[in-house]
Amino acid sequence: MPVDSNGSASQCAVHTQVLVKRYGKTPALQGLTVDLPTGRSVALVGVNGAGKTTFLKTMAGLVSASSGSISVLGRKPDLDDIAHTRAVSYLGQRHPLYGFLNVRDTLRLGSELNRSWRTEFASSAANLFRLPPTKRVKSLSGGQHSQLALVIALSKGSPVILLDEPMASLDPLARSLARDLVVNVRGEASLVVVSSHIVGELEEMCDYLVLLSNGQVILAGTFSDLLDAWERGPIYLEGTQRSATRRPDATSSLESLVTAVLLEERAAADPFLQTPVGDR
Amino acid sequence: MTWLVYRQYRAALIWSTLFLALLIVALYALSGDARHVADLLRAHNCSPYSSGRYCDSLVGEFEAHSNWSTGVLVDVLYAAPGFLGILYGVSIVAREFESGTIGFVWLQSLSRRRWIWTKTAISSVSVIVVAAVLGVAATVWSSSVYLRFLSQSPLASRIFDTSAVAVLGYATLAFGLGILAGSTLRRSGIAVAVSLAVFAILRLLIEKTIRPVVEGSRYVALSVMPPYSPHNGLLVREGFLPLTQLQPHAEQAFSVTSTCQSAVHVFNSSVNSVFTACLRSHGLHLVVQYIPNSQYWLAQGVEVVVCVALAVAALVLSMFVVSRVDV
Repeated sequence: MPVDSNGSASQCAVHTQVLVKRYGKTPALQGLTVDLPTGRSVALVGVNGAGKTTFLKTMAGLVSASSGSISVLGRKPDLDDIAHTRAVSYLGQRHPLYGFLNVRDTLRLGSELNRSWRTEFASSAANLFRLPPTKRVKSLSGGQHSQLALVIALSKGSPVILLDEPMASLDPLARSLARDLVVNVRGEASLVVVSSHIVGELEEMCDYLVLLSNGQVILAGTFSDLLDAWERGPIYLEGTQRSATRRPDATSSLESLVTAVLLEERAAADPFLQTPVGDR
Repeated sequence: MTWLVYRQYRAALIWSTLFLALLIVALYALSGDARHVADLLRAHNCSPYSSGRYCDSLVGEFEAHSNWSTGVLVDVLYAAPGFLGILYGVSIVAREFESGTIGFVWLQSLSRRRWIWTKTAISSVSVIVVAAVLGVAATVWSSSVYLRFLSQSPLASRIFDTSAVAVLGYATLAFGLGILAGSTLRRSGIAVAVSLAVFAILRLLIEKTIRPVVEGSRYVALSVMPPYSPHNGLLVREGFLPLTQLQPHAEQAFSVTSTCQSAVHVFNSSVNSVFTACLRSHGLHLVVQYIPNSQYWLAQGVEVVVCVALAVAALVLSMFVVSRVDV
């Protein structure tokens, strides 16, 4: 169980309070407040530009917050905090690796730079993906490149694992293997956060949903709690007066819930969409 | 980490070594004839002021051999430490930003400051070794050829800059500026251009402000025009002052009397006495401003200390910048 800066035990692996991040004048996070419980595997969902990557990068300590507060395992992420970089493993959408190194040397580099490196896991994961050990990274295919980056992120041995669209460029077999690996490390980590647009995939890897819209959390909870509420009636969106209601013909699945909430958000932002198609 | 940095800089090290080898070959190949003529000049006690047909023809021959090739080589030697240091320095951070690998390495379990420090420490060994070899080659070459005749003093501007430990100092300064520009601008091309400009300005400032103070020029009154600078030091300037005055006041120009002008540069002893008598009749004497060679190592040492201090400041600033930059 993580211990916060006051020395008391905390149930939240990540806690944010009115978190704001701007890139110049462009806001990416607009007062994001959320608690991500310890021991959970979180599905981070939202439309493009909702702030998912910025939120992940802020947790990873790659970007600093413009205002508000954030703590990860009780510590404020600092851009140059060695304890934080040890505690967090992050896989971005782009996978920058040294092209002149081969696969074996890249994994060796990972083991040299990380004290808690899981050597056996790295080796077996690389074998699982059939990554050629002597092939240079620059000669790998896009999919193999992503696989190697995923192996490094999962082998780092950090208690917090942040994955930004890890399956994006993987073939169906590699996706299945990657899912198994994420599920495998889930039990050992304090928190796993996976961002993806494919809700069905997230259902297999995660048990907690955080839905972002315009840099704010509009829905958060365990899958089971949210689906129970979805069965019973409308779902109320955080920080708004709005709610999403299940259509009578819709299935009671996470995907239909997410789709309904995102449609409600879109309709609120664009009144044109509130008009039935036939009346336009 | 060491082997990673070695792999990153292996190509640069090979290119630096090739450049050094080519430069050393050029130094000796292009200056062979000039070296031979310089030996003859020395053997016949000729000087730039000497008269006599043989000496004059040798001087002409020396200048013909040494003009363009020596000039180009000295320019290359002058510019090399700056380019060397900047190219190595800029690549430390800027290249990682450009390739995106900064997003990999800064996510591993080492601090950004530790990362930049480790890379700097390892690659600085290459810069120092290459600059040291460059300095030794230039010193040997200039002392065997250039100094024998043309300037007679290692304090002469271009020779001072391209020899001994000053080369190390300037290469270190350029290295530090390259790291800082790379960290701040994050684009190699722009960082190289900016750090070259800043390096040139700093070098000029050191030459014009610090060096004259450290060297501490002196004045001496002479009865005849010297064939060389007094005590084989560096001749700064010479001229005529009133007999009661040994050095010019601020902004005071050395006055030259046209009456005695014809006697200048003639070293025949009888003419010299006429010349001296002419000066005395006008109440003037010949004063030479020079820098003694004994100041050479002091000036070299001070410039190295200044350059290294600036490079360390640039490195500290770079660490500050990278520890606060978003990726």
